[in-house]
Amino acid sequence: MKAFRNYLITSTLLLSFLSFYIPIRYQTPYPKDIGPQFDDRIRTTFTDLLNKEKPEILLFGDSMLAPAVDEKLVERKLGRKTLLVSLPGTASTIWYLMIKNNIVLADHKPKYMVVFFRDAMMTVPGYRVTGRYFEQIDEFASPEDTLLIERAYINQMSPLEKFMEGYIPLYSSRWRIRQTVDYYIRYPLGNVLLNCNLTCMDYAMEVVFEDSNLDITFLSEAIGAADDYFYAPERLNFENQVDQSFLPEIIRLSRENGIQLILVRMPIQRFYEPGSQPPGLSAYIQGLDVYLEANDVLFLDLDQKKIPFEFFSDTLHLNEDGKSIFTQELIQGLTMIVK
Amino acid sequence: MSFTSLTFWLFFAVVFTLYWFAREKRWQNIILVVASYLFYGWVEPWLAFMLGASTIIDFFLAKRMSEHTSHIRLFMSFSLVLNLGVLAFFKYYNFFSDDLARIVGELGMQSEFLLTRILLPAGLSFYTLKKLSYMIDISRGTLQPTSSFIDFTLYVSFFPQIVAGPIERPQKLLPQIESTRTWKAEYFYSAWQLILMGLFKKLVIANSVGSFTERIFHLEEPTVLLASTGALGFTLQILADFSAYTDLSRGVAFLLGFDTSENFKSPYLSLTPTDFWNRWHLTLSFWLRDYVFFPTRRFLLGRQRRLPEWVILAIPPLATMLISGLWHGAGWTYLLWGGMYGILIVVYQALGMGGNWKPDNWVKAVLAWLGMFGFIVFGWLLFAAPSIDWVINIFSNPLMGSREQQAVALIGFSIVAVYSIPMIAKMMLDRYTRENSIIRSMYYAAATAMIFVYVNSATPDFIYFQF
Repeated sequence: MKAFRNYLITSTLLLSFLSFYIPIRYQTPYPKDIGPQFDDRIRTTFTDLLNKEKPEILLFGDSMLAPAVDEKLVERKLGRKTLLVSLPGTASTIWYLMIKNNIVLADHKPKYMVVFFRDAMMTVPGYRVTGRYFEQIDEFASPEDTLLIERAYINQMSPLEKFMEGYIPLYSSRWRIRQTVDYYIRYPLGNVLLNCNLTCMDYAMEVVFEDSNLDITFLSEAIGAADDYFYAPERLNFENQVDQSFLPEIIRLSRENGIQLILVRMPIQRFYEPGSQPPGLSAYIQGLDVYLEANDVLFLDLDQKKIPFEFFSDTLHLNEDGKSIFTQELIQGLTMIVK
Repeated sequence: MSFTSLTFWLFFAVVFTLYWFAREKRWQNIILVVASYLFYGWVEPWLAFMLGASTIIDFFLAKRMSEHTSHIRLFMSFSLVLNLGVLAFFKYYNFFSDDLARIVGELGMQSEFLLTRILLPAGLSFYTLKKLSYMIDISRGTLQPTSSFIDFTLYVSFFPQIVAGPIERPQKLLPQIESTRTWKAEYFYSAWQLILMGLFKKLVIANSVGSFTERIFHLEEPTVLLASTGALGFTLQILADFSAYTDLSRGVAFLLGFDTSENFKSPYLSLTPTDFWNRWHLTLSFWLRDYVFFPTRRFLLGRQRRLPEWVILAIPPLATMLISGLWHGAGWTYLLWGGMYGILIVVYQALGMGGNWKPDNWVKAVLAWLGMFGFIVFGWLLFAAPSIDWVINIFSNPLMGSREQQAVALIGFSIVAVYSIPMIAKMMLDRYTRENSIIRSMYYAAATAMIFVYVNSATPDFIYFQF
């Protein structure tokens, strides 16, 4: 009993001190506004790129896109200037930001915007928004992006998390504290023994752990584990998810700016075996199809084509042969649309 | 449902309230059985059905055994075949299925269905051993079967232990299940430190070290230095992870009025392999000692005249450790890991450093510790390695590698060094300070603060869930 009493007193003192010190140290208000704090600066990379390249067709997606589509072949076959933007580690939330804060602000807007996604990716706003993904979100977001803060962050929190975000500075500043701890763990030894500074150590991590050095099963499992997030039954409920997602906003922004939106569902290896796909996935895709049709968005479901295993380099990415097959399928689908 | 998830603690709050309000032992046990099956079948309900079916069979076999003593061998054999058969099927099917499919295919028969991967039910290895110790002890006449089906079901499925132990003996858990339990403040005072340390070791230490070591063990061709870093990291990670799970399990059990077994006694301070197995995963170690090592030794001693002495000395530890390796998983790396310990025990015995060996001066103690710690780390390298080829290749890979590889190894060493400080500090505090000392309170307060910083919704499972 005495031990617990001592612990209670000591932790109360320590936590009170830290609740006072951390807001001062990291210059955050107390209580803190729930959700992330973005800076005012917005990267304009894609505005500039569109103005420079002036494409008619913009192909847009995550790391699956580049190994799957031959941009030049699409351009040649369709006879329209095409630009491919394949951004690893991105998903619908950052795509919404790029469309809102970059693409529709360009002087030259593409006539067709083709977004490549897999399964439920378009309606999971909390996917790829925290941890290391936060930095790239921050680059395209500003404090005015209240819809982003609400849908991608606040809506994803439980009441307990919301309370802790607001009132427990140790919790709300955890990423910054962990970065500080990481800094002191990672860098000093390399600096002293190898004369390798911060940039050099970060580069070493990138080089040693680059995908080609890691065993492919591990990569596939890591991707699979991350994607489990959007195969949860509640996230495969299209009706419930769509209004909480950025899909309606992406459609609205495209329509208001005279851009024809086309969504392309990419093939993946994961549910290739008959009966292996999550129970709600077919219903989800049907729901998405109906919704897109009602909103004049064109939908190409290229997952139905079932590209065989040997055309993949891992569970998601196609190899060179796969690229050739997929590009043909895509051209065939787009030819009917892009007249 | 993981002990570190909010879902678990909400679930536990409901169970805890209902349980202590029930007051009557019978209702308390029924509540715990329902809670245990809910907990176990949370993600995959069929697991709970399988557990239920095997529990029913063993309960009636045990009753039959005590009623028909002339048929003990028959009932015991049936139980062994059933329990070990199910365990072997789920655990080793995937390991052999490719070869099986090839052979069946060569015979001209349909073989694709054999390639379907089978999911190992979480906790199967743990509750199978619990059931077997109950059955074996009844067959030996050292335990009377319980007449209550609910009590037996709770013994097998008790939710704080179902997924990764401790592998509790019926002699310890059943009397507690059968006795009346009323709430005492001591339960809480015994539980809070365990729960706090469990959360701290899992969320702060194991997860932080694990994210680094996992990548090392998935490098195609790590240098010797990188592999050593990975092995050291895994040495820390597995202790933090598994002891965290045991602490949480014991803490939760205490809150329900149960005193369950410890699993660890500073295992990395071991001086000999026998010493290590008397400190690491104690409930498994003692299970193997009582149901594999001693019977094998007794069997061989009964044939002493016909067998050379070295066979009697070498076979029991070798067999026990190989079975320990196989229990951990279907893979040559686990078998080699178990085999390594078997050989080490035999060699240490031959050198006169068997079970009761104590060094007579500190130089010997330090040398013995260094040697044993080296073996432990190498053992974990085998255990965590993706394949034996991967381990063999390390020795043909460069020793230090490029500047980048050395830099990453240094990061790894720093991570291991920094995150082992709280583990070492806790061990020192346990040894040299009183339970209510202010230094310990400060340690726990700091651990609480760190939990707030490291708590994350995406926490990987405990390592021992996969066994």
